[in-house]
This record gives sequence, C-alpha cells and structure tokens, in this order.
Amino acid sequence: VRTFRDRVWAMLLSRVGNRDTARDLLQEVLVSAWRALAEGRLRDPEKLGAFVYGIARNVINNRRRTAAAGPVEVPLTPELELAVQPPDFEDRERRRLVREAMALLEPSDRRVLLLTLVDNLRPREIARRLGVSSDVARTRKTRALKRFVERVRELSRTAAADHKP
Amino acid sequence: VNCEELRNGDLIERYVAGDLDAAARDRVEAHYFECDDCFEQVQLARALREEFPGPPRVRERPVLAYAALAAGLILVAACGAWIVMLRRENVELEQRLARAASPPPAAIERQAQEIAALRTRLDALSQPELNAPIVDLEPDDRVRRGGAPSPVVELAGGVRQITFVLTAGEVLGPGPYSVSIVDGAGRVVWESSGLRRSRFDTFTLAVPAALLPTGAIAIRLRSTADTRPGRVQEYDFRVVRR
Repeated sequence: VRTFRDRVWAMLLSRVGNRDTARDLLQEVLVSAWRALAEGRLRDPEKLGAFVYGIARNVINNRRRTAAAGPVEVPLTPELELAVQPPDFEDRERRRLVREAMALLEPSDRRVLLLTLVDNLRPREIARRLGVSSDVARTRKTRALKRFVERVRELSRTAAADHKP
Repeated sequence: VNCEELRNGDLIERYVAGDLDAAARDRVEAHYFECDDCFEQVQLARALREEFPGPPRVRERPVLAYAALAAGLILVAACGAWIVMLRRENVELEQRLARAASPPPAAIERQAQEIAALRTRLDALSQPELNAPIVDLEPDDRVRRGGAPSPVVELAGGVRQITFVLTAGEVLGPGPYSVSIVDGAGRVVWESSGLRRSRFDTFTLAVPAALLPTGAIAIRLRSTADTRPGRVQEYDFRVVRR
C-alpha cells in the first residue's frame, strides 16, 4: 500500500482540485487496494501497478457519481491508518531538495527547466526565447532535466546518510 | 506510452500543468504507476512548480498573433452588427405581419357590418318579388309633343326592382343599342350596351330600385351603329319614394 501511496496521491492531485477531498480519496483508494490484495484478486503480481491504478480510477469515478454521499467511513487498523496519510512530509522534503538542486545547476539549465516545467512553454517557444532551433532546445531541456534529477538524487542520498545514526 | 514518448513528447510537463485531455492523462498515469524513473520526474516536476511558482508570466505575443486577434475582433464585430441588423429587420417584419394579421377593431367591426348587409341583400335578391312594378315609358319627343308632364314612378319601401318597358322612338337608328341612366344633375348613374328591340318595337330594362336616385331621371338610348348627333332617344320620369 505504501509503495503506491505517492503515485495515488500524485494522481489525485492532478484530478481533484480540493486537497481535503484528495485526502479522503487517498484513504479510500489505498484501503480498497489493500482489501483487494488481501482477497487475492491480483492475478499477475507483475501488474501490481496497473492493478492499483485501476482501483484508483474506479474509486474516483464512483465518488464522482455519488458526490453527494460524501466520504466513506472505513475502520482502519493503526498501521493502515499511518499508511494512508498523504505524504506531506515527503512533499516538503522533496521541495527542499528541488530548491537546493536548482541552486547547484548552471544558469542556462535553470532557465530551460523553468521555461519548461514552470512556464509550461512548448519547445518551439522555448527555442524562440533561447534563440536556438527546436531540436537544440529539446536537447538542452533533456540534458538539464537529467542533471537536475542527478542533483536531487545526490542531495537525497546525502540527506539520508546524514540522518543515519 | 513508453518512457521515451513520455519524456520527449513533453507529456510530463503538460500532465503536471493539467494541460492534457482525459485520455492522455490516463496514459501518463498508467505508465508512471509502473515506472519508477518517470514517476520520479513527475514528482520533481510537480515539486519544481510548487517551489517556483513565481508571478504569472505574460507570454510574448508575436505580431501575427496581434493581427489574428484584431482580425478576429473585427470579424466578431461584423457578425454582431449583422446579427443586430437581422434581428431589427425581423422585429419590423413581425410587427408588420402582426398589423396585417390583426386589423384595428373598428375596421373589423365595419367589415362585419358590410358583410351582414351584403348577406341580407343577397338573401332578398334570391327570393321572388311579388307585385314588382312595371313602368311603360314613351320617348320624350312623343310626350313633349302631347304637352304632358314627365311621368312619376312611385316606389314603395319593399320594392327591389322595377321593369321599364320603353317604346321605341323615331330617331333611333339600327340596333344594337347602348343605354344609360342619368340623374337630375346630368351624372351618369349606370350605362351598358347590347340592348335589343323587341318584336313589339319596345325595349325592356329591369333596374334595381336602389340604383335609381329620388327625383328627375332620364334613360337614354343610342344606336351603336349610328352615332350621329341627335340620334338619342330619351325617356324622362321622376322617382318618388313612399
């Protein structure tokens, strides 16, 4: 359940505007997935991701159809209660890593990433801003993204090592 | 989709920005539920947007975009004006149709009275008339020669039609003949042609009583084959209504 919590949360944030509603749905999806797994409804273990994703979609669609009914109250065990909480801490930690990783990047990489991921500009528009061709802009974006991910991973490893006793 | 399509097609950026349609969004989600690397990029892209939201950035608009915008505005304005004009014409047309379809109440009342009167007259004319008057008239020249006054025709209230029997005069040429009824002021009340002389040397003319004004009246006959001046036979009489 915990393995897919972040994915379900990301999915809910994309589909549900209200964070409180997303919080309710996260619990509902993860509990449904846990029950389905406990009942042995997963035929192919390699397709666990698709299985959980299907459950998440069903729960969201059912909630839309019965929007007036409100959240479904489900009794939870303490472990499950902890597992179905939104990953707020992880989100905050990730944002810190992102901020530090951006500071470590070259200005040109930073600019490409901001144009791409924050301003949501298409490659053609980014190319116009940078004064290069679309292919060159796309290549720069790919490289900047790769360096950015590497920086985040390095920072994450460093933070994990610092927290070890 | 696979990893390459997801990253090269800008799907991650568009997914995080909420720019994808439902089908594309489903494909991205189905993929990252099974792909750690792509999900990591989704997470980082989202975190980046949350960490660097910045002020809303206004995208630069190229000249062509302004031209297209201006053209669009002009088109919208033209369409708007056209629609307004059409609506105005429609309103006027509807008003005219409404006026044509529903004349004023006074006109309706007048039409109803006229129709009722016509029906009454039609009903009356459809019935035989008892004791219908027959009036024999001599030409003026013969009357004048005898020094007698113009004959008087008395019309009772219920009389609808009078039959005149006109004795042919000496000044008339060959037939056929035209006939006219003239009132005391010399105005022609009615005229026609095709009148024929009978074997008794007379003419027969049935005239609706409503056509004859009260007072002096003359019936004039003329040969249509002989139009010389003076070749007119006139029958004078007076109408008196009781």
